[in-house]
Amino acid sequence: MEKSSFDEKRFLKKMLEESALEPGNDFLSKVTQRIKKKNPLPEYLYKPVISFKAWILMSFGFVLLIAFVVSQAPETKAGPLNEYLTPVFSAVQNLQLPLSVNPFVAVILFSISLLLLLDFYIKQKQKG
Amino acid sequence: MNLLNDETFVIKAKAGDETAYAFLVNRYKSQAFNLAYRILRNREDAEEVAQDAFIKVYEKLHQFRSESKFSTWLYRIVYNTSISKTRIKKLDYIEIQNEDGEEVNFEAVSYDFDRLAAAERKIYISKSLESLPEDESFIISLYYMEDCSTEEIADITSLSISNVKVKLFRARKKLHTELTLLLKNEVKTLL
Repeated sequence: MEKSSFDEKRFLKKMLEESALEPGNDFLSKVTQRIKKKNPLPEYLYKPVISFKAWILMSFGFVLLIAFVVSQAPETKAGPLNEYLTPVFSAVQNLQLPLSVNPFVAVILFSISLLLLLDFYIKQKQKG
Repeated sequence: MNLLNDETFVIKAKAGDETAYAFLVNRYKSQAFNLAYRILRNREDAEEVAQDAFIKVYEKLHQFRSESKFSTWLYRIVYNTSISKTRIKKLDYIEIQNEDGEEVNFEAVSYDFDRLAAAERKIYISKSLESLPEDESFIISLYYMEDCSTEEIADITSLSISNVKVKLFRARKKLHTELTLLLKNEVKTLL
């Protein structure tokens, strides 16, 4: 007996494919949105390089340094304001001396100060 | 061979490439939606379940070891999510011995079917598929539409291969009976 060439699997596949439905046009965007909602990107949190305590300690150290410089300065016969300021100026002049010798050091110190200031500014802004 | 194989996109998606995952969603959205629809029989629910399945897949992507095909893994998640949604029982194991071994032939059905307009055909197929139990409708779709082997279907549904074969046989038989009946009625109306 001749065997039928009818391909049942093919017929059923075609038949089922004809009945297939399509999901909504926004299916992909809905999935993407839901994934983003469930797994949001981690928010960037600024962590200051120098903590608040460190800033207080540094300020305290700076005040101590000034006080030390003032106390070590020689006595002058100038007015009361000059009496206090002259040693500070001379101390600053002393500090400037090595900087003028090596501009590379000056650039490094300037950059560090700038970064510290920036760090302080960002920290303050974040608090606000 | 599929040039843009799933494996490549899975690796990229695992590495955090969202576009690669979007590609996989686009590739399988219709299949996932239709399979969910076979169980839920409601468009809105099927769409929601298919979306849920894709989100679960994304979350568990790092667990996927490529031991099975990506599609098999996805269909298993679609199946489990659909079952959870309907709260119906998982596919039951059946007594194979009780099955009637009589084969069905779709050849006559196909001749009548070809004479129908596309829209009518769609209605009849939908009607006959809805007459099947959800699990059989799901299995028959996996086998004929998605070209899954009985082994893959067994993996997806957690049934034994012999149970899958019996369920497929039953589904084909019911589908044949339903289609024959519907087409007979169609002829009667025409007459």
